[in-house]
Amino acid sequence: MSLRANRHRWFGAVAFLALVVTMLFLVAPIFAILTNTSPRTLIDSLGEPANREALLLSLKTTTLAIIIIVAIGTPAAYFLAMRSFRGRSAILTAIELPLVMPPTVAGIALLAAFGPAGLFGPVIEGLGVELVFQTAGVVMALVFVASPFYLRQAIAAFAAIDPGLIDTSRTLGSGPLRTFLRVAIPMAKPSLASGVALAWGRALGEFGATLLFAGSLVAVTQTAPLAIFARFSDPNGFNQAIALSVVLIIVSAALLMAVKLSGGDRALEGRGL
Amino acid sequence: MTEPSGLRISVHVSRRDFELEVDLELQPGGRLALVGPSGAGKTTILRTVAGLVRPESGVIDLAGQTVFDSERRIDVPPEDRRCGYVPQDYSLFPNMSVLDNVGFGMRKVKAAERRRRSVDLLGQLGIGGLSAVRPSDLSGGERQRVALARALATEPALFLLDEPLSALDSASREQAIPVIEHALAISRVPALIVTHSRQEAERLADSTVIIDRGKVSETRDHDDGRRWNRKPGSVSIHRVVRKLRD
Repeated sequence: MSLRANRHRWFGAVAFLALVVTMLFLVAPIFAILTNTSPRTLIDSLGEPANREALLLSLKTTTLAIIIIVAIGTPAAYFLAMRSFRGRSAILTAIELPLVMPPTVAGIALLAAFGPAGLFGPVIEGLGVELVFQTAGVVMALVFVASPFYLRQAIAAFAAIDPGLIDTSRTLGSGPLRTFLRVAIPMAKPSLASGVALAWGRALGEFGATLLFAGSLVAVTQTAPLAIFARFSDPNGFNQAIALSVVLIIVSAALLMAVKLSGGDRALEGRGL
Repeated sequence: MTEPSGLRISVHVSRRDFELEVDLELQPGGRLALVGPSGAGKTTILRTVAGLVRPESGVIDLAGQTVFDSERRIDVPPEDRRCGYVPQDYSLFPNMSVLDNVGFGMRKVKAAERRRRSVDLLGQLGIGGLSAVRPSDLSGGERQRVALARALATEPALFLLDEPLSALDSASREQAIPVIEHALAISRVPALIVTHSRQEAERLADSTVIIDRGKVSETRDHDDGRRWNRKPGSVSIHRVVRKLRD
């Protein structure tokens, strides 16, 4: 066997070993949680009204947040991907800032902007809208922390579309809106679906910004992650915390897989090599 | 103003690396080939007529309508110019079937009628059996026919063909030339055809403008081979200038 072929075989083995280590590290804690609770405890915990409320609130607020992110973020990402203008880099950096911002800082920032004494507080109060300690505040916090995950994917997806297809659509009689809807979105769909999955996952797990901006009121702002922390803080609530965690893991995994499959995520297919 | 279905273009386009001034007229049914090396500005002329490149100044009249006039601030968007633009790589929509590609430009046409006309056009261009196929499964020649059918489906006032044969091998080119001629005959509208081959220009067009380093070095009417022929009803080229800044 040649030296070159030997080297290829070794690299394949090392890459596979790296994958095994990665999987063990990522899957071990999830496996531990799943095996740490019995089905009976799981059912009992879900029978608790506060736990059910928390899960339902998480589903409701994250769904709303994702709808807002997709509805506003998709055209915004398209604009950023297709246009070249002064200040574009600054806007891209600002959009990505919440990705690296500690969640607690995000909560403080939201309070500083939209809290009663915040920058836009009087305007929001004037409109008769209440955000702090309200479900609407939870949605706002989720949109703030999760939107960069979707926007990054969407911008990259739109930027990767062959400009010739956009031009051709225009010469075939389609205006900018029809071109966006009929050409750009279908072309970007797999990446947009990945973006939705990532943003949804981030929103489901959101904790710090929600706690600081909206608080942890049962049935109003206490989402599943906040409920898990509340049960964990209770000396007798560890089992309930684990049961809630299991449900959150299952829901997150199901959402992630469903969104990716519906969008035809190419990463799920592999290259078949 | 030019006659209905003709083209008159007199524009100045300024880009980072070159400036282009073009002044030409194409009468109804005329076919003009723009021949020259890469970077001469041939494609820019097509894209300017299609509305994809905005000139700094000038006028473009197409089919009796002014589609661009810098002084009168007229700039008709590409979707309203009725140009059957076939780009060099054909730009077929990869997420659509051949049938949907052809039907894409038939706006405000009912689905059944759109389907009937698309099938009819595909049949006329000899690819009637490929309706359900995706562009990724087509050969170069088949892609070209789909792109031609798609442009024809919009009932354009002008055909713009950018290097229509460059993506094909030599055998496919021979087969493609009669298809292009047939497509142009069906449309009965004038055509601007960009190519880098004089032979292809002579086979596809009535007249040729040869651009060398941004300047017109020669024009030829293919009917009688005379140079600088400006007889009524044929192409009238006044000036095509490209200045490299550096």
